[in-house]
Amino acid sequence: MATYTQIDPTQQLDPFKGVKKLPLEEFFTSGHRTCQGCESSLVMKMMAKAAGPRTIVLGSTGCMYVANTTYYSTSWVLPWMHTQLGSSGSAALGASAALKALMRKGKMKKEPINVIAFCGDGGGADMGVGAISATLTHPDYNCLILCTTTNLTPIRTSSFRAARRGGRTLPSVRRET
Amino acid sequence: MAEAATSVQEHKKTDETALITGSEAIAVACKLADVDVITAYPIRPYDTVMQYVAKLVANGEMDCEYIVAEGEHSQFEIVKHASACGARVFCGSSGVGWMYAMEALTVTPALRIPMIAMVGNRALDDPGAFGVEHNDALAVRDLGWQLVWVNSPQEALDTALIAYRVSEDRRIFLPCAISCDGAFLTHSQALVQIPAQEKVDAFLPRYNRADLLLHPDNPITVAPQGNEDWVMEIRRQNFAAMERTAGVIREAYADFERIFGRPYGNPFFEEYKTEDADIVLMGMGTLSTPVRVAIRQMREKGKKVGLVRMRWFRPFAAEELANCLSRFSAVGVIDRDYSFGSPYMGGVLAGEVRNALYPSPGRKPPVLGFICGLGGREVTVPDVEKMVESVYRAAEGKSQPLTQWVGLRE
Repeated sequence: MATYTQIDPTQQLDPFKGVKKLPLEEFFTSGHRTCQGCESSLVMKMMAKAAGPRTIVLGSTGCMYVANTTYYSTSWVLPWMHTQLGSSGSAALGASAALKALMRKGKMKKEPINVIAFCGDGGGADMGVGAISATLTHPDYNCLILCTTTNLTPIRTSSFRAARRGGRTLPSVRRET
Repeated sequence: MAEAATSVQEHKKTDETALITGSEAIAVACKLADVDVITAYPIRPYDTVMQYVAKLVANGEMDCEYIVAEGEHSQFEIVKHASACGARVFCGSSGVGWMYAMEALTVTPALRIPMIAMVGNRALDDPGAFGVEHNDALAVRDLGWQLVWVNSPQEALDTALIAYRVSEDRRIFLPCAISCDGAFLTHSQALVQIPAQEKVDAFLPRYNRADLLLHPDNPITVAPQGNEDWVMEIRRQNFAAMERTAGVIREAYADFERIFGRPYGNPFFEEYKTEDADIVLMGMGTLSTPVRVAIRQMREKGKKVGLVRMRWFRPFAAEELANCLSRFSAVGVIDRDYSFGSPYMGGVLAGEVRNALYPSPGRKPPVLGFICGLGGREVTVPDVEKMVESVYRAAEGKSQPLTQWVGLRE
């Protein structure tokens, strides 16, 4: 029989159904350089609204890092940290392990804090897949790894690997490289 | 109950003596420092630390999150993020494992993460070798890592505690790698004084990430894109932090001596029989043991030889070292590493010593480089005698090759 480790309590947030029911409070706001309608940044904006203010966001290298954080300005109202391209899984694991240890040992106030690692195709598939698979073997840590795909939308940034051919690129998708 | 509580308190106040290896000493230091998150990935000889830590956790002697990662890159990234969230962290690796984590090693000092890592020095592949070579740890010497070499389990334990104190100082916030020679230190036992928890608590304050803490109460953005706009200023901050390390290290050693009663003298390098020495040998790590034996034997024959063993390689105490070396008529630097194509084809330490001497206003003795003990090959007493002969000839003004391979099958 497999034994399951007890997962720490998660936040109880009110669910909302439909884009029009989204709360008005913004956690990912102005100061970024993505276009109107950019699918990845919309996902991020809504993800932040759904997760609420008690959240730590980790962003692996990708267009959402390059376009959204330019030093001396930040579009993040939530705490945000850059992580290396292949480490979205490790980042989520590290942050949640730290919170767990510090709260258990009484070094930090006990409360459920969401840890969300956000990655694109490069960080979520090709280079990042090893760390993500390793993180999935640790069910005793509370974290979420969110991968947006830029494959299916006609993005024009071509600034990063996601805009090029990657491991998750579908056969019919046209890429610049 | 009251009796049990008293015995625990007594236990916290008394030092213990134990016969342990260098790796075990580091694991004990992690326990004493109350580390919060430890990551591991097996590679010999570092893996002995992870075994001892796992044992401490399993025995309930240590409370931490112990994570076995899927590779060294993840291992170092996990603790990097844990440290950003306020946890005291420990990890480590060896040889090519350390190189596999290179990307994570690059960003750690840049992010001002006070990570403590143990490098069980091991030769880089290929050809495969488990033995010691210092090239693995030296690969990060330009990146902002503090690098220290130790030569006994006692020094490993003490230096780990000092490293936490220095790295987690708000003036520093830089990572520190403690280099332990593979096999010679990681797997060799010696009697070690394990300090009482009470003393450690008096020496080592809690890790406080303060305004850099990644937490919803302190919603900061860490490591955004800087580009040509800001990168240079941020590098300069790292430079300033590294500039401050020497002073903070001195403070920490002085406090260590006051609280633990174990003096280390000059923190940066140790001098052995140098008061009346004509010439000295230099080196890092455990090769000091055979060199000391050889020096004692040669002194019986009337050759006044001394040893200067470097502890801290980063920060490099250049002025102090140049002052010290100006007292001798020649210097022989033993490198357990290589730097192919470097000036005079020498090892890394020999190059750094020449570099330290060049602007010095004092006397500049000739510096000979010896590459010896690669891949874990023993540095023997006859090897040391051969080096000393050559250094004496250089002291007499005779021309000697600037780099020699000693103990090589030719």
